[in-house]
Amino acid sequence: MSDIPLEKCYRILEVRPGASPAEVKSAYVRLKKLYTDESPVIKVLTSEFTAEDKTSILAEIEDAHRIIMAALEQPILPPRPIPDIPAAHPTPAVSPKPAAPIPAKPVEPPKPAAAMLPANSAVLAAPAAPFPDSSGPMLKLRREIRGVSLHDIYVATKIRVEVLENIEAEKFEALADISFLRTHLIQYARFIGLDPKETTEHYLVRYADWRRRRAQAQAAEGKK
Amino acid sequence: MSIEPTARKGEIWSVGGGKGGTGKSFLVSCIGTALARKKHQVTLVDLDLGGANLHSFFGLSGPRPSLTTFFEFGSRLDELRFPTGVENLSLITGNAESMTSTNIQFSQKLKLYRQMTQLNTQFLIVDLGAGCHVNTLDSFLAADRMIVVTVPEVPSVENMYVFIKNALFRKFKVVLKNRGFGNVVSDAWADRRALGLKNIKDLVEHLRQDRPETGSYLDELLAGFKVHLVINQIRDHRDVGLGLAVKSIFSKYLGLDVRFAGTIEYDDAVWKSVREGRPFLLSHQTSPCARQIEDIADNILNDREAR
Repeated sequence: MSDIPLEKCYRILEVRPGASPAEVKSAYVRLKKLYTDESPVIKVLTSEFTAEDKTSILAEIEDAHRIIMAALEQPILPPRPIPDIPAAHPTPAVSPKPAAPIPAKPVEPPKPAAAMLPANSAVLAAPAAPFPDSSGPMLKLRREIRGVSLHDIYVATKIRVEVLENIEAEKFEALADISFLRTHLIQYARFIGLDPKETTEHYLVRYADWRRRRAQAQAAEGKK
Repeated sequence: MSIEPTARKGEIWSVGGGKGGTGKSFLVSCIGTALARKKHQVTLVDLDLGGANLHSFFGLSGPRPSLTTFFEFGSRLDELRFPTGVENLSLITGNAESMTSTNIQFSQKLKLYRQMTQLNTQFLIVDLGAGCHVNTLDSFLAADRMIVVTVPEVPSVENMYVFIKNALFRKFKVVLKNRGFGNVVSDAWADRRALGLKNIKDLVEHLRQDRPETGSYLDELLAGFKVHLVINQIRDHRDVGLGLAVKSIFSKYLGLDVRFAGTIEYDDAVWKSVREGRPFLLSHQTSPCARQIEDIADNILNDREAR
């Protein structure tokens, strides 16, 4: 019984895929109570069913809860290679040197304003590597761990699957408008149970970095 | 057969639930008013023949054209509509003096459903009587959206459960018969003792094994059998959880999709407004109860659930 697909586990616990651990827990507690100490009103609904039926429903609830919690607690490994900026726009052969020396400590997450001001911050000038948490591939990984499909997100948020794919693949050139992108990231993060503020900040730093590099590449192109 | 989908002009909603006095007619009058206030053309049909009182929720009384003339003298359904006093909302009453739902002929029933589908209206909301008579079940099943109302009390919940089960059983019976399987459902149920079938879930499993070719029809039927649940007259916050509990039990035991549309709290203003003959949603627009009903109408319309 222990290898129920994750998607079915969410159905058994009657929560949406991507529900937060707290939501999963409270659904589990509610269902366990419902099927163990039945109130008189509930008894009239279940009286036709056998004790085995009830036992198997309770066992399924236990299994589903255990599987989902195990999946949610699974440590998320840092991504290994950060994908290169997609080459739709030519990038310079030599990548630009960081304007600031790479700090010894991991860089603190940037202030929200930093993400709004591309090309104007020492943090942005650093390579994207210090911000692995919310890169597109990491978002994808976290989404998959939670058993959420892009279609699920589309149904809840009306963000087209194609746009969601571009976000996860970091096809920045297709994500032209930063204000739309920000809204989409917030909705995406909320739906899969990530912190929307943190996710948006980290992702937009990568996006801003790409814009800066694209601008530099275009400037270099113009000089030729 | 009539209870299977046919082309229609408007959307048909039916409100049933087995037990009398749970607020079916009240809900029909209010949902109708809520939709009409959103500029939809709505027609209510009182099919609670013998116990028709939908007109009284609009303060209407006295002799009016009713379904009696449809059944006994062959009037057309669209000639029987009259205004309720609420803009965009009309009513076909069921005060059929000499009739009950039990003495409608099969051909009359088909004619009624045919004319219901042809009626020029955006929404047609059918108020059903109590009980599980086959005509009541068929009218329930003929709708695009099936709604059941219960109050959070044992007898009412029990009747609601029996009503849904009977409706499902009826649908199995009709659909499989129409697909050329004869009386396979009734026969199996008649033999239930010998076959060891305790409930409708056992029956479905038996049919799947005994007649595997029915499997795809059973799947389709179970997946398409969607009931919207309204819990009326909530007096205690603990009753709020009943909607999700009923949903869970139907899904886990019977594999049925019960959509929990919402709860309506108990409000003395309801019977006062009925006594005064004023449509509740208009006379108590700002009451919590009115807002809950508007949410319910919205949830059903958009196939959403309450949370």
